[in-house]
Amino acid sequence: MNLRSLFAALLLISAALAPGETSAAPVASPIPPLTDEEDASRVPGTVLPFDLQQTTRRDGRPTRDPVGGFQISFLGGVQMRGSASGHAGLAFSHFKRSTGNVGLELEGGASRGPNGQVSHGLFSLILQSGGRSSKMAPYLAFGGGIYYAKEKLRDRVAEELPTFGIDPVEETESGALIAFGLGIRIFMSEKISFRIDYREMRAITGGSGGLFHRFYSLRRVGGFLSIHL
Amino acid sequence: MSAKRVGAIRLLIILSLVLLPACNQTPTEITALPRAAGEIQKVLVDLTSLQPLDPAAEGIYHLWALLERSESRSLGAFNIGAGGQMVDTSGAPISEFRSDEFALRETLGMLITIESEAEMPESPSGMQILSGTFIEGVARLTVPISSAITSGSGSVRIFSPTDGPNTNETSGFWMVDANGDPSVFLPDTTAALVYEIFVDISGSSLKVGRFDRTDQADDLCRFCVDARLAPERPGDDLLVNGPDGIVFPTSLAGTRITVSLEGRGNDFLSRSQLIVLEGFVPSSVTPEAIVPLINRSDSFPFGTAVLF
Repeated sequence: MNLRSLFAALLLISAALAPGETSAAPVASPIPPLTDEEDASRVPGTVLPFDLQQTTRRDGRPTRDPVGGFQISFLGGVQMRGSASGHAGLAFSHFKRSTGNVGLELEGGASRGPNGQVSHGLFSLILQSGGRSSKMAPYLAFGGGIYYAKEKLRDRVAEELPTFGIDPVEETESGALIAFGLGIRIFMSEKISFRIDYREMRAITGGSGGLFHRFYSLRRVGGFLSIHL
Repeated sequence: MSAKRVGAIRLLIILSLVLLPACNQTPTEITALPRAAGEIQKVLVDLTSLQPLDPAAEGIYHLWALLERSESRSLGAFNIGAGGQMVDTSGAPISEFRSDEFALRETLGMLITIESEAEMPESPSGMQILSGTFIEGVARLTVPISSAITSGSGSVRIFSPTDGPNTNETSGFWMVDANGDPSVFLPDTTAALVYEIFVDISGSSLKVGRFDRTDQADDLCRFCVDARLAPERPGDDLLVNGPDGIVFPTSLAGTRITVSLEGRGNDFLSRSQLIVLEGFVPSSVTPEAIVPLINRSDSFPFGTAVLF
């Protein structure tokens, strides 16, 4: 087992379950709540100031909530296994407006290297903490999906394989995968955030042996540039 | 956060922590997915002209994966069967090697050595006979010596300077011309390989001496009378200290002289299969005769290794 992965997971557990972030009891806000008169005087469509640096929890949800709602994210990263190929993708997600802590994300991505391409679709549950009370929000992600892999034989290898009685056929494979990971979201502005994401995607290969002997780790480290719609 | 939600999160975390170590990171069988991601399942090896070894007397071939930082990992021992094919230590044909000890994708090169069968080393210590670097997944395996070996040439001069003039003059051979200059031209050796001279006489192969450069003497004047009279070039006079069954001084008439590549750290009694130069002394040889040495490097073994 990778001890660094375990250590990182334990750190995130601590962050996710920290009482300050999960308590339902509101903390007294330094910002006075809007009076009915002030509330009525607001111009429709304007955005109230959202202080990303504030460290105490708001007791009221802002009119325009940067934490909740729909997001589109552009993903770039590195597949940490095999030949460490580059990874790119796109993700759509929605975080529940009432809390901003729970989100669902649909992600598509592909890694392309000298030996082939691996594409995947992933549906994830994201549990994040602290979005309204700090500029950074750690999160956990759990999900599942599908993958499609197409190997590419290098030209020199393809030339040599017949010598060994092997047909130089470029095979494909598809199947299911499970994924879990963690990360941290950094709010850069009201509408843009950046996520540093570590994801363990365990693909179930079609090889021989029991289920646990057919897992292949598609470990990924990436960044999500998210635009809040 | 409700207790129900906290419980669900804890369940997912526990599930992740269980799955993290429980699932193998690399499957038992490397299928298209791991290969597309860059994993290597095995090393395919095809060898030509490698000769069978007698494990008890000559050791056994050993295949090594060369990694970064000059590290190496064993991929296993093998021999060559009667038909020239690779066989494992039990004699079963093989053409591929796998490892559970390290990721084959990290392999940068391949090395074949001859190791003593009795003590398998953790790193290559025997004679290096073939090596190659992987380029785009394929390594051409050749004898690890300069490619100039194919143009090596020369001759030996028949005379015996170490016992004085005009005595037993057909008993010595030296790689020197009449002007005292080297008469053999070979590329310099490597840290792993060294040239060695053998003389086949009366059914025996005599080790005459080892050398790195043809413009210097070899390391022995094993059979000569007075080393101070010997030229500063490889060679010897077969005058004294003859082995059992051979009476010295003896004439070189009808003998075979070879220069072969041998492992610098090994001192096998027999000559390796890497014969670089070969010459035959005529049975009617006369003093001061020049015996040409023929380049035999075209008989060197070679091969191909493929990461697949």
